[in-house]
Amino acid sequence: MSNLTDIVAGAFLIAGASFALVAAIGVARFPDLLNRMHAGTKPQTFGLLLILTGLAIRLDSWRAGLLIAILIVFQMLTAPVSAHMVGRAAFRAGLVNRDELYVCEAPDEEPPAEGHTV
Amino acid sequence: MNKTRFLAIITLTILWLLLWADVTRILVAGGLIVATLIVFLFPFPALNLAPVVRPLRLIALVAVFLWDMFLASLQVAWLAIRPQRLPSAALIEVPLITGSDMLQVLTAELICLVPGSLLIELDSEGKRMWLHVMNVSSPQSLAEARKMAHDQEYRVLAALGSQDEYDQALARREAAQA
Repeated sequence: MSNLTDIVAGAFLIAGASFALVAAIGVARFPDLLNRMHAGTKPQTFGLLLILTGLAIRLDSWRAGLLIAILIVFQMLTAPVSAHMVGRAAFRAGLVNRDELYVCEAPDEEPPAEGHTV
Repeated sequence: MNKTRFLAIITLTILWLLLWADVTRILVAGGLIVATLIVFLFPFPALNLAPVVRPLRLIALVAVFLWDMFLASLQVAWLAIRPQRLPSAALIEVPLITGSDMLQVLTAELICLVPGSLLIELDSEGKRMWLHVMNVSSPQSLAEARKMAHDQEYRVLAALGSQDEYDQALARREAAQA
């Protein structure tokens, strides 16, 4: 059995690491900030999720499993928030080249009052 | 002390115990003290938790989300490694059905977690959000991007929304399919 868990856990670790690698390639290759945010925050999150799942399978201990579950939950709660903050800041600062967008339905030039935005 | 704060203290204490991965009297007491301090020192505005929970729909929400995340990760990975230039992206405005802060945040978070779409701005009172979507270069992919956002909100409302908002989301979904 331990052979099988090793193989499954190994597959998860390799798949996760590949997503992290591809995320890095995306960050290096994509032309502008928003597209880079896509590469830098999402495949990497999924890759980390796979790596942690592989780790949980391999460690086979409920304590480690619980810690890993917490890690996954917090990673998934915080990653989109940071991605959103960078994206919003970039857009408001005018770092987004609107001509390159296929469609641009920009929010009102005057951003809504602070309390109303998330 | 209201119910939300009480729940927050219990949840934070459980989290504290999970982080220590042990349950002793000292740890429980310490957790309760830290949790109480956090809740009272950093009060958050009252949040309306989900009024309804439909368990089967909730499972469907999580399952579909994980699958979407997998597919979309592969797509973004392919865009990153293929030799061609990156196709253009789009910034789209998406109207929301729900007026609940909690469900708006949940919808936005899930959309943001799926690779290829990024939340730029959310107008909570106006029930609108703006998304940056990768790889949009035709009217068809534009329609797909809007459908993706609407479907995500539909699944959230199906799992956690009030009956009224769920019905509205269902009607929009059927109208889109017709």
